[in-house]
Formats: sequence, C-alpha cells, structure tokens
Amino acid sequence: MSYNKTGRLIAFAASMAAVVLISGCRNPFLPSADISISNISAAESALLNSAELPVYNSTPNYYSYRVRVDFLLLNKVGVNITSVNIFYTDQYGVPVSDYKKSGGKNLKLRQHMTPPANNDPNGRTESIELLVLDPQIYTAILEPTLTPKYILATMTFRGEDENGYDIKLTAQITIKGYGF
Amino acid sequence: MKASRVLGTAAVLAALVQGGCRNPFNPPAQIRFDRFYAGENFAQVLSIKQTDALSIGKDAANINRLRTTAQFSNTSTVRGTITGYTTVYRQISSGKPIESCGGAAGRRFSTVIMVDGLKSNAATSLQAFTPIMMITSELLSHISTDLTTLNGGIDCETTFYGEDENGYEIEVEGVLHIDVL
Repeated sequence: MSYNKTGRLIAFAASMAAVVLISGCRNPFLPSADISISNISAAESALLNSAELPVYNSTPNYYSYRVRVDFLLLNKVGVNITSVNIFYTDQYGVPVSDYKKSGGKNLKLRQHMTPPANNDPNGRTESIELLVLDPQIYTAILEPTLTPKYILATMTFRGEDENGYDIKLTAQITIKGYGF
Repeated sequence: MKASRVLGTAAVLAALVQGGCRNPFNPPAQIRFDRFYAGENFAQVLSIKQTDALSIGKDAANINRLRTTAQFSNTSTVRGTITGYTTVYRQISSGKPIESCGGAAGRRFSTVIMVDGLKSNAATSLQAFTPIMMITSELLSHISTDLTTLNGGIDCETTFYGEDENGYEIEVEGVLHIDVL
C-alpha cells in the first residue's frame, strides 16, 4: 500500500468519524423532523388571527374561545404529537388557577402530522385546537388579586417524529381580561 | 503554492471572525418593523375618546376599535418568529411612563408571529401582518381617569423580540401614538 493510499484511508476514516460525531452517533440519513409552530389564532378573536386572547366580563362560551395552533412541517419526516401541557402564570411568572397544583393543565392526545408530499418550499401546515380558556382560568381572571388582568399560557407540545427523535415545541400566548 | 494556502486559511479565519465564530453560511434574518395599523380604519394613529375609554373595553363588539395590526418585512430567506413584545406606555404631557401600566419597564406580552423568508427572487421582501392587543384594560382605565391624557395623548413604545431559524435574536421597535380626544 502506497503512502497516498494510506493517507486517503485515514482521511476517509476521519471524515466518517466526524460525521458520526456531528450527528451524535445517529444515522445522518434519517434526519429529525423540521417542524415549528407557525401561527396561533384564538377563535373568539378569529377576525384578529392573533395569539392574544381578549376575554370580556361575561361568562364565555368556552368553545368559542378555543385556540388553534398551526405547525409548519418543512421536510419529509412526519411527527406524532402525544401530549400537551399548558402552564398558566400571571404577569410576574407566578402560577395561577387550580392547575398550579398539577403543574399546569396536562392532556394526552394523538395527532399525526403529515409531512409535505413534494418539495414544496412552503411546507405543510397541520393544526391542533385546544381549550386554553376554561372555567378554572376564567375563575382565576375573576380573582381580585390578579392584577394586572393578564394570564400567560405556556403551551408545551411533546411527541416523537417518524425517525425516533423527541419533539418538544413551546409557545406562549397572553390572555387579557377586559371590563373586569 | 504555500502562499495560496496561507491566503485560504486567512480567508476562512476572516469569515469566522466576521461571523462571530458562527457559521457564515447561516446568516441572520433581515426582519424589520414597518408600521402599525390602528383601529377600525387601519390608521397610523389610534384615536380614543376619553369619555368612551371605559365603555369600549367592556363590550366584545368593540374589539376592532382596540385592535392594532403590526406589519413586519423580511428581506432575507431566513424565517424568524416573534415570540413576545414589551410596551412602555408614555404619557406625552409629562414625558413619563405611566406607572399603572408597568412604568419604565412596561408590560410584557407573549405571542407567536412567524415572519416567513423569501423563497424566490420574485419579490424583494415578504410581509407579515399580525393583530396585537397592546391597548389593555389598565390603559383604558388610565385614559378615562387621567384628564391630562387629553394634552398630547400617549405613546406606546413597543419592542418585539424573538429568534430566527439560524438562532440569532430578533429585536425590532415601533411606536404607536394614541390620540385622546
């Protein structure tokens, strides 16, 4: 074996080692899903298409206050979302509502998110609808001790993509009370 | 031969220094704040009658009168997400931030605004429009009770922050003026 061949072999082995190191000992040909939260819109304020949820001082129709979370998938790896945690705090980060005892509102679900079928640069959007505002949260807004009348809801979505990577996506929205 | 290698190494080093030891091929997004569209008429300035300030905050039907839409532009191919904003409410007559609305630190609100990146050369920038609710019930209470708001109104100095998909922080600023009539 000539010196050149040995050098090439060493270079090849080194580059493979580098690929393995960079990809964290996982198969670099099975990438993780490219997914992000692209939009949040609150149904009551659908005309707003906004991530802020204005709540007025009259018992709300909770379903009409549902929140739609849009996910944008950009590569060909699908995702299964399996649980959601919604953690409620006041303006200063102090947990509020009865959910503080359980570390927020926890729910299990099964939502498969299909990846784009072609090379569409716009990707594909999938959605999950949640009742972020429910009677416990409305009661918390009514509490006189809650000043200012804002509640920050941190939503954490967990699951796994089709190549076995864990998925954890977080977004925060503001619930604002008016006329209380 | 040796000189060209030295030059090549120097070029790579220069790129690293310029990029702050970050990959120069993953540049930051070029996101700017363009303007606010305020109220029902999508005006530059929001007008609120002092005598109406309390009542409009009590009825959901008036939501459009309190709505402000923020417009952002992205001139790069890198997508970014605005995750929150802070608003300092400054009374023009005194020049001071309004204490009941958070004072100099202002109020921090969370949101999700994705500003998409360019995908072709067909346009020079992509716009994102998102309604936000920076007019809070506290601000409406202040306007209704403090007569000096009639002297010049209120400025809402807003800083939007977030992160682009290459990991760079986004921070853009805008001001909405409220005319109190």
